[in-house]
Formats: sequence, structure tokens, C-alpha cells
Amino acid sequence: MPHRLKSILQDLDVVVILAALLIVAAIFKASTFYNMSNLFAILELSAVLGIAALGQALVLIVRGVDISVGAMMGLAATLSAYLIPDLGIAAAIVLPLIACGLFGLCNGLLIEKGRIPPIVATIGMMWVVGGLAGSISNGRLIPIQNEAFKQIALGSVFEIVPMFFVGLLVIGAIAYLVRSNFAIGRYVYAIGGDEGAAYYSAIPVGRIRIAVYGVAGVLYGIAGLLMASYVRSGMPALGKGYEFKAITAAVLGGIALSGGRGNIFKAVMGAVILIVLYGVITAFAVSPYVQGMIQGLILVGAVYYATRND
Amino acid sequence: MTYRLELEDVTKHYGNTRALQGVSIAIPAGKIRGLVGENGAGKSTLSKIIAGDIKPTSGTMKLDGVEVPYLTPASARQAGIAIVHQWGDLVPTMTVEENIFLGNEIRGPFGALNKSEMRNKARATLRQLGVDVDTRLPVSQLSPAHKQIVAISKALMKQCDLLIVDEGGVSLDKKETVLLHSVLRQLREQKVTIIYISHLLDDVVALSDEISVMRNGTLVEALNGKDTTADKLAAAVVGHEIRGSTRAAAPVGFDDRKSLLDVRGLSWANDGSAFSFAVREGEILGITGPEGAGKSELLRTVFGLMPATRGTVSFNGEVIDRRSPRLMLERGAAFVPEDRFVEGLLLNRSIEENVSLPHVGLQGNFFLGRKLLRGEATRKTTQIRTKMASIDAPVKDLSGGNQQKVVISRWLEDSYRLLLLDEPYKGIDIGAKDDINQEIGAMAGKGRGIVVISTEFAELIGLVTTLLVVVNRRIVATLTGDAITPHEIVRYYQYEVETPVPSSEAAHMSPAGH
Amino acid sequence: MQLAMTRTMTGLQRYNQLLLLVIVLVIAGFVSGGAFLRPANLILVLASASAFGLVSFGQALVVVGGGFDLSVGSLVAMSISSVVFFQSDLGIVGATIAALVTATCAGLISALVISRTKIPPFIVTLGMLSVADSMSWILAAGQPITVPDYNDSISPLFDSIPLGMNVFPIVVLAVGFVATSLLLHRSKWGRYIYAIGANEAAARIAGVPVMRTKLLSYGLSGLLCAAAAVVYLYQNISATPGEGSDYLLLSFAATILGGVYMYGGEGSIPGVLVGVICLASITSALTIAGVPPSIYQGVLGVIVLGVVLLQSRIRK
Repeated sequence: MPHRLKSILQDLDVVVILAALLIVAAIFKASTFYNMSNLFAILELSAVLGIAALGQALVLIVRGVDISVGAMMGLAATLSAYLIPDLGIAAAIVLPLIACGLFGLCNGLLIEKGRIPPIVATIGMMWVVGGLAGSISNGRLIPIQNEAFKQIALGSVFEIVPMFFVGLLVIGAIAYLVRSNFAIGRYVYAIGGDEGAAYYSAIPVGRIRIAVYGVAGVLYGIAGLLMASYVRSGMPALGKGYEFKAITAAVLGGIALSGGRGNIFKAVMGAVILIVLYGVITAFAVSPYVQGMIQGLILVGAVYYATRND
Repeated sequence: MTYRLELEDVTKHYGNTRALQGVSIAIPAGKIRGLVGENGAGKSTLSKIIAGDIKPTSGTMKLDGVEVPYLTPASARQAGIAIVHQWGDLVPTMTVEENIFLGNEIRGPFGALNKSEMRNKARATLRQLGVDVDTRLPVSQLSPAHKQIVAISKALMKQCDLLIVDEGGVSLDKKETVLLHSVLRQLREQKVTIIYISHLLDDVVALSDEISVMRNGTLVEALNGKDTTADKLAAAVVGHEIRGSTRAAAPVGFDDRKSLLDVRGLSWANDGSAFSFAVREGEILGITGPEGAGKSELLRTVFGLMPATRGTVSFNGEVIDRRSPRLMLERGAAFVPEDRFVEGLLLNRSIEENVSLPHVGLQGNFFLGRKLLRGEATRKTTQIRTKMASIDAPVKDLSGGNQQKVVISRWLEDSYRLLLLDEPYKGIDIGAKDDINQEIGAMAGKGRGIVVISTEFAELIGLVTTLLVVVNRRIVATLTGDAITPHEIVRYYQYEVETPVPSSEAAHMSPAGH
Repeated sequence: MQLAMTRTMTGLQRYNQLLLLVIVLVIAGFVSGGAFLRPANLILVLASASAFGLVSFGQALVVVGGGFDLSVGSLVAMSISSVVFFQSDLGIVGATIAALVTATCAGLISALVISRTKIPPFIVTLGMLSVADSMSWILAAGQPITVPDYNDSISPLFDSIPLGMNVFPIVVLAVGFVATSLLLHRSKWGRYIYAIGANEAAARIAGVPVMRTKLLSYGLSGLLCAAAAVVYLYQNISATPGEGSDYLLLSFAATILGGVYMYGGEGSIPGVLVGVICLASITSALTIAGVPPSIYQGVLGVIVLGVVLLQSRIRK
């Protein structure tokens, strides 16, 4: 079927870009780029951004946007670091995730019931969550001593693939399975694609939207916990800038800003591409100052490419 | 006798606009009820209330004799009611099979989707309606006709006792319409009650057992399907007396007058269509025709809101290509768009701001001459008899008719030699329609040229000097003088089902246009 | 009865900014144990409001016009670095002009991209944010950001007045306020901005010069960011590169508190001034009361969300 082929090819564009980046690195900076510790770090950070981008992608699909990503990551990290000494690792993982999920639900409620534009609601929530994290940590960094927690970042499969990345693949696979094989997956896309049509089809639009923000919150929390393990500490500013990175990753991965479209697994790929890109730029010893600019221009370029036919 | 559906005194207000007023209707089980009326008569609103999409402001509803509380889409479905909406039933980004089963999915073990069964059933239903389409295509890539059939299939998937079809036949050709009707008749055999809404009066007459006619939010007549002809129905829809006795007689003899607008071979699509017509000073040109015919696109292309693929537009003898709203306004042509909420009004701003908008820069100073602007705005809105609390009141508080007058007030200056109006009578009361028509007549009297698009041809009769009937992107008739009657106009609508639109271009037809 | 309700609601809408200000001032006075309300402190509050206040006026112009300017914080940072960068070649005056020009150009570029493509303003200004942020680092590279020139030249002029150091920031704020007020509320461009924010399609059909209006509002926003940079350097003399990201969030908070409707077409500059003063007052009161800065952020979030919810309710 020609349409099926076209759609598969469209999905492969991220793979092509990734391959191109990897080839460039191989040709010019093989030794700097292709060594164990560098590749490991790239995969680790891809996992962190990938999970955050997955949450942002879900929000984008229902025609929203989430600026509270970084703050939630910081809260999860801070809370976890704070709780570990007293409550142990299990609580230090579960409680922050619950907290982030609840704050995510707050986002959803503000947007759905309060009729507040997503950008305003999530910025407001960002401040609230950031303030909370700040008061927990008293503005300081909380080091994590717990060995088990630190091991999460160091664990690997076949020595090269971090546990983080395995976790990312698992979460991504679950997300993909749900999306493809359960009605809820279709409903989420329907709400973003045409809310009226979804409503006419007796889909509980409001409840699903609130739930999406809640799930996204939990995903941001997971990303924050991973990051905390990686840097072995918790602080509110841990996730700084991640909301914009997550949006860039999602858009690179083909998620439409207008909602209703995009393969969520590709959004994860977008995150991988972004981290690999940073890695390649660093290998070329490009000034770190320029990195931010490149990210911004990529985002604009990606959106331009996506919207040129609208 | 228990009726399948009974509505008693149903009313629906949107702020100051009355969409429905005291509608009472009773439909027996297992019958097909046709529902007809002009744009804005309230047919869609009524059907949406029955299907639970919107709630009425007041009134009661009974199903099989039992009163039911106001419905939601979910509770309506549980009550066995299904609806095919006119637009907006389908999610464009999702595939055919996903859409057909949206909200109604077939599940297997663990609640997972049974995709193969859905695919087979979707294919089967589509084939029953005579369509063979890859169900894995996204709906956005289908032609309007196929989209409509997919929407119909979606409704048919739900077991229902009451099916509402809102303009189900609009994009279909003769063959597809015949199939649709046979499916509906089959459903009737199975004791399904059907409400069939359409402006294609031939179809309604052929299919319905009884027909209800709506006008301006009320039910005005009930006719028997067997005794009625399309002509009688047209007269009922329009209303027996054609208002207009108070209007000045439309002037005649234009051939010697200066040509204001000259359109030659104009088209906005690559389907072989080409529009040619002229508007002279003092002439009022009407354009009517069924929905989807291309009337709106035509005017929008002339005004520069859409790019033309071929043809020329001349204004005052000067050919203008690369048209844009600003350019046309500079030349002296203005446009009143179809949907005042989407493209006409600045809803949260005041009446004065809305009326003054095109002219705020005219003094050339940095500062606004606020006193002057207010004076001008008051003068213009008064001229067209706008009823408002004050010139500074927010425009969203006005009734529909007065809102429309505000939009038109922008262009009352004689320096706008040409005024284009797209469906100015939509959703407004009779008094406002009369005021607007009076103003149009006065403008023409001063030598201005006016073009009015309307599907409510009652308003155009007695107003326009020439009437173009546009069907499927062609001008099928140019009527003048005594030939402008509902009978004549409706006669040309039949062309719609016989003239196919090439499918490659059909996919790009915008649903919102006429 | 219906009419009375509507009248009350409209009255509330018009006066809710003043009401908000009064409430905030009262709370601030209470929280700080009265210290907040001393005249000397009030002057300090006003002066502290100057820099982000200017940025907020620019943001308000853009938001009323239906857009967003996420780049404001980085434009302030870029302007600070521009002054440092150009100072050695052009002197302080030349450097100031260069900073004003570059920031304005950045705004114009954003407006151009927004007008000519279908990329949402959110994304375009986000891109500009990262470009300007990078520029602020690049321009300052290697040099400490210390610009005592503004303070040195202007401050002595007001030595005789008590707290004379605060005259300059307050005057600049006042000038910015008057200029943007006149633009938005008394000029044709203001009408155009409101129209585009309320309904861009309708504005276009009515002949409004959409692109030119956007160039104006985004360009002015850039200019005001540069002005804010000057005030900042006057007050703080030195800065770190990338300083200024707070201004983005503050400008949003001020516009929200000031009654500007996030989807465009509604809002006033005096309202934004009220929002600015409220924010500065809250900070001042919390600082006086010894509240740690992290709590301040949380309080800000709760207040902003609360106000928006209320506004949403009133709008219904």
C-alpha cells in the first residue's frame, strides 16, 4: 500500500538524521566520540531527556504544552535526596513520583476546569513546584550517599547500555503498546486531533486530558530521579531548561504542536538525536555558548518544516 | 399512540441569540421524518439537542413516552440515539477504521483492541454504501463524499433506535445517494426511526414519510411526504409571502452603466472551473446555490483572501492581480465575511472600536481623534438602525442581527464603491434582515455595486437585479427580473447530483465554504 | 437582575486591578510588620520595579497583540553583554545605542519570522531566546561584566536629593509607562494591536497592517529590554552573563496580574503597572520579613494561579 510505505518512510527520517550524525562523528572525531565513557554518558542522558520528552509529547498531543517539566524534575530529585537518609530507597522513589503525579493532575485541573491556558497554568505550577523544592532543600544541593541509588546510574547491560536506557526502552515500549492496542491511546489522539469529534463520540475528554497531565508529571518525576542518580545529588535547579529541551525533542520526533499527531516513540528518538547532537558538537570542541543557539535554531527549523504545509 | 421521540417547547438561547424558540415535535417509531429549513433555521441545533451534544435552555424531551433528562453524547448513545453531523464527526488525523469505531471500539481479551474485526466490519459497511476505500488511510485524504460516507458508517455502527442524519447527502452523487437511501429504508424496515435533514428537497420528498419545516428557530409547517413536491416544499421553506413590498423597486437597465467589477475566467482550484461575471454601478448581484458550490471561495478569491489559479479581476477598468485585502480596500472594495465570529468581529472590544477599525489611521496623526471616531461610529451604526446600549458597549453583548450591522457599518462610506457580502443574513432576525436590505438598496441607489451571497433566497428575491445560481463550481444560471423565483432557483439545484467534481481536486474542497 | 449582575461584573473587571493593588499593599504591610509601608521603602520598591517593569510593558504589548515573547529575559542579558562588548570601541554612549539597536533588531527578526511563516510565536521567540542567550555569553566572553559608567555619570546629579540614587530608575520606568500607554491606548497602532489580538483574521479583512503592527510590538519589546538592561547596570553595576532569565517569568506574572488576557485582545498598561508594583511589593515585604527566596517563588506561583482562576471566573 503506497500510503503505508510513505508513512513508514516518514517515520524513518529520524533514523536517517541520527545515522548522519553518527557517521560525521565517526569520520571526524572517532576517538573523542566513540569511547565507552562518552557513549555511556550519551545513552544515560538520552534516557533522562527521552522520558521527559515522552511526557511532553503526550501533553502536546492533547494540544497542550508543559513548562513545568524542569521544576518537576527538580522536585523529584530534591525530595528523593531529602527522604533517602530517613525513609530508605523505596520510599525515596515512590513518594516523589506520587508528588509529581499529583502536581501533574493539578496542571490538568487548572487547564480543564479552571479554563486557564496551558502555558499560564504550567508556568504558575512551575513556580509553585520550584518554590516547594527550594524550601525542602533550603536552596542548597543535597548530596546522595545511598549506594543503591547511585548504582542505578552506573548499572549496565552488556557493559555499554546503561540501565537507564533499558528503562527508557521499556517505558517507550509500554507507551507504544498502550497507544496501539488500547482504546485510550486512540482517545488521546482524537482529543488532540478534533476535540469536538471526540466529544461527539462520547469520549470523556476532560477526564482524559487531566489524566494525561498527571501521567506526564510522573514521567517527569522519573526523569528527575534518574538525573539525581546520575549526578548523585538532588537540587531544585536540576532540570533547568528541560522543558524547552523536551519540546525540541518532541518536535524533532514529529509531534505536531497543534496536537493529534506524532509517533510517541519517535519523540524518544528525537531526544536521542538531540543528545547525540550535543555530544557531536562537544566532540568538535564547539563553544558551549553556541550549543544553546544551535538547539534554538533546530527547534525553529523543525517546526518550520512541520508547519510549512498547514 | 406512543411516539419514539417527543419534544415539547424546546428553546435554545446563545446569549442574546435565539437559535430555537418553543419547538414541539412528535415522531412516531419506524418512520422517516424529513426536516428542512434555510441556513440558521435551527435544524442542526435541534438535532444536536436530541443527540445530547448540546443542552436546551428549556423544554422537555420524551423517548417512547418516558420523559428523559437532558442528554449527553454518552447517555444519548445509551438511549439508542445516533447522529451523523453535518461536519466535525471525524478526526482528520486518524484513519478511516479508527474513526468509524471511535468511542465504540471492538475489544478482545484484556480489553485490547480487536483491530482485524474492526477492519473487516468497516470494510463491509463501506461496501454496503458502495464505497471501496483503504480503511487505513487518514480521513483527511478522502474526498468530501467519502468522508460523508465514513461518517454515516460510523453512526450505523452503533445499534440505535433513532438515527439523525444531518445533511447526509450533500457531497454525494446520484449513485451514492441512491445507496444511502436504500440503507435508510432498510433501517426503517427494522423499525429504526430516522430524522433526515437536508436542503436537497428532491431527496427529502423522495425519502420522507412526513416532513417538518423550520424557519427562524420555530417549526412552521408539517407536510405529508407523499402529497408534497419539491416546489411546494421550496415555497414552504421560503415562506409564502415574499417580503420586499416595502423595498424600492430594483432599478433596471444597466448596460450603459460603468462597470465596477469585471471577473473573467477566475478559478482558485485546478478543476477546470472558470467564473466570469460583472457588477456595474448601482447593480445588486445575488449569488445563491447549495453548500459546497464554491460561492464563498469565489468572493474570497476576488477579494484576495485566497490565491487564484487563473483568470483576472478588474476593478474600475484596472486589472488587479496579486490581490490582498489591503489592496482591495485601497481601491475601494470591501468584504463582509460569512462568519462574523470567526472573521468579522473583535468580540471583546467595543462597538466603536469595531466600527472604527478600518479608519483609525485616516487622520494621519499619531494620536486617535477619539471624539471624531466616536461621532462617526455613532452616525454609521444609527444609519443602519443598530440597537445598542452605548457605542462603548462590548460587541458580544449585541444580538446577532445587531452584530452583523456593526460589521456592515464599517463600510457605509460611499468611497467603498464595491461591497461584497457573504451570507449576511445568517442567524439574524427578520427585522435586521430588512434593515440590512434597505441599506443595500440605498447604497445601490447611490451608484455603489453590491454582491450578496445567500442560501436564503427569500432575501434576495426582490432585492437583487441579477441572480447567479452556482452549483458545483459553475454558474449554472443567470436570472434577472421576473425569472427570480424560488421555483426557478430550485430547479437548477438538481444539477448538483449530476455534475461530478473530479476526485483529485475534491479532496481539497474546504468544508467551510459554500 | 441579569443586568445588575453584568454591571457588577464589568465594574469588578475594571476595578479589579486597583482592588488587587490595595489588597497586596495591605498584605505586604501586614507581613512586614509595617516596615514595608515606610516612604523610604516605597521608593526603593518602585526603583526595584523599574527594570522588570520595562520588560513587562513590552511583553504586554506583544501579548495584547495575541503573541508571546519568550525571549525577553535573554534580550536583557544580551543587551548587558552588548554594552560591555561595544564599550571599548564606541564609548558608553555608543555602546548604549548599539545595545538598543541590537535588541530592537532581535525583536524585529522575531516579528518577521512570525509574520512570514506559520511557526507559532511561542516557538519563534523560544528560538530567539536561545540565540540571544548564546550571544550574551559570546559577547561577554572573557570579560567581567562591570559597567560603572551609568551610575557614575547619573547618580551624582541627584546627590542632593535623599535617596536620589533611585530617581533615574523611577524616571525611566515612568517614561516607559507613558510611552507604552500612549501607544496602546491613544494611538492607531494600539487599536491595531488590540484588533490583531482579538481576532487576527477579522483585523486582516478590515485592512489592518498586520505585519507592520507585529514588527512594532516585538521591536518595542526588544527596545524596552535593552532599556531595562541599562537600568539594571545602573543599579547593579556588574552582572553575570545570562543574567535576566528571571525577567521572563516576572514579565509574564506582571501581565497576568495586570489583567492582560493571555489569548490577546484585552488588557491595559496601567493594569500591568499595577501588576509590576504588586510583584515588587511582595518581594519587598517577603524580604523584610526574612522569608527565604525559594518560598517567594512558591508564593508567586500560588498568587498568579489564584488571580488567573478568579479572572477566568469573572470573565464567564
